[in-house]
Amino acid sequence: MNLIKEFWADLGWLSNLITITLGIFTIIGIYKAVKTWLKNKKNEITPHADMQSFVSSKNKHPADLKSKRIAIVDDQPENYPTAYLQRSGFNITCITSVSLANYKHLLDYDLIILDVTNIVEEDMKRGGLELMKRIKNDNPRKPVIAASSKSYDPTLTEYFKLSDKQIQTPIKDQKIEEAITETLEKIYSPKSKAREIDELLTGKGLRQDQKAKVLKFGFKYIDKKIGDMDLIKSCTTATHALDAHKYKEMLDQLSESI
Amino acid sequence: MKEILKIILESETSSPEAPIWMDGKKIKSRMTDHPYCSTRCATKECSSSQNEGESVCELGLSYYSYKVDESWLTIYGVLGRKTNHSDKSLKKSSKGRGYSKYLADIWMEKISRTNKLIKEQVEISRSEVLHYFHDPVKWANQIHISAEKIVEKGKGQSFGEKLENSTSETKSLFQAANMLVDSFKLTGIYFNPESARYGEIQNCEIYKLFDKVQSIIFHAEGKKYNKRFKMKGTSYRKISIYESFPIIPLCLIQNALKYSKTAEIEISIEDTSTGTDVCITSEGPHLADNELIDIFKKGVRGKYANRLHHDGLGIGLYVAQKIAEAHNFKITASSTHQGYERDGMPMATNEFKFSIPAIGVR
Repeated sequence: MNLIKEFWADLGWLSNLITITLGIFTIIGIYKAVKTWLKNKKNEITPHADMQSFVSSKNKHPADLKSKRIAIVDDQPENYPTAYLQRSGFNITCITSVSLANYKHLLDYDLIILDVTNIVEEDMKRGGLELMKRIKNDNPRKPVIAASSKSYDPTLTEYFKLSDKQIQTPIKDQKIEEAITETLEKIYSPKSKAREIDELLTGKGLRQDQKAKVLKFGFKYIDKKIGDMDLIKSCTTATHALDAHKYKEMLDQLSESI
Repeated sequence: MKEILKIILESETSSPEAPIWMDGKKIKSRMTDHPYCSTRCATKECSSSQNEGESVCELGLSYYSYKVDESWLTIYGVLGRKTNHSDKSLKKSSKGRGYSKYLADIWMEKISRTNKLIKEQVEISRSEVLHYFHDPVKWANQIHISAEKIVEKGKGQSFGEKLENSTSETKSLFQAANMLVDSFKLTGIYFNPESARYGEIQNCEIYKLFDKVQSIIFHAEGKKYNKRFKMKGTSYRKISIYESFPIIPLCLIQNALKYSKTAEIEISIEDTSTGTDVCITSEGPHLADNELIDIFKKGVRGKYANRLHHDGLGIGLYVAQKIAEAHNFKITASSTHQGYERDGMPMATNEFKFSIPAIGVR
């Protein structure tokens, strides 16, 4: 111990400098650690009030919906205001015919607007129904808008039910723009997904503390701080009014879009 | 379709072994009724059973209920697993009436499958015929879009103002285009009730919707018949509805216009804790108790309907009820005698009521 003291005493100004520098670094380090700890604690105690505010804080660059690729699969593309849609910034491709043997390229599009008659080579009458089934089978989350006036036909009920939205053609400019924007927002916009989650939680009639707990677990799950099982277990313990599996599924969809 | 199922059960190829009820009505079977059923049973509880599986009646006999399509089928008066087999007098009177649930299940599966196949074939045939509907529907949509564009070119800030400032020909064209599109929608739902759930879900202020519809009908037809509509009640609630919903006020208000004999038709809309109550009241020919239920069936018109209005296929109320069911409520009718006659028809206060749940369809 005396040797060490003598060693430092011999160094003089250098030892003072080293001591002071180390001391400053230590204080800065402690300050930062305390600050981070306090911030985390603050988030735990007063988390975001709802999923939408949480998503807003995460998502500095909202999804650019106009960059999404849209396919209009209809033998009569003149029924759509494609020039208007393209001027509005949408990325539209018109396809007048598809073969069931070669349809997978449609899955590359972010949104498909699909007619039912005269578009599938193998079945001109209701080929759109079979195509709808195959697309949804390959990718259930691929958004498809059913574009047909044949709502009166009971044999096409499945075609309409599998779709994410139904429109009739011919269709007005603003109406199709709304249909496209709403569908893209619903699937690709994190804010829209977050709003759905908030509506789900509000509709369950949870107490304030239950809702806060469920949201807290949701935030942790999205931040990958807890896994599937922990989320489901914690939510089920907090309240039985909420379907924890459905909540997890919605959180997964939200995570994908953030 | 109940008619198809009834035909299958009454045909010789699928005649049931054991006695059977179809929606409370007896269907001819190879086995006659159990003597207990015909002599001792007063309640006939099995005829209205809607509990799937095997049950035992108060006389100790088994019955099996099944839901096939929209109908309830109940095989009754048989000895099954749950019957009290230690009851000697029951056993003695039930010779040859042992009919296990297993056999009943097999037979019912066969009936159900046959019913489904015939239904599919009927739908395919209907689809072939309805194919010719396709172009007129598209043309109607095109006419409607073009009519809207003509109005939009007019003077005014909002669409409503522009319509108000339009020429009478433009107004007529727009209203006719609206009615044409609505008629096709109505017919579409008639052929395919599932389509009542298609399209956008919108939040709608019910009072405003009814007010708008009565105004359109008043200007289109009401003035001509010297009828007026009186809006009553307080409602500000917005409820989520399907695109098909406006057909309900259209049908009910048009019906009241067609079949009422007095000048005033009252439309009352009131918010409650669970939803919004709507009631359309008018004075017209009395509707008998059976008519109050039958008028919501396909092709059925009231007894005096023809005298007041020759056109009419009994579609409107059927479609309105299908749309109501898609929105999780039912329309009911009531008819209270007024104690006098007009043109040989007993007059009554007729009410068409329903309550839209606040939760909506979202």
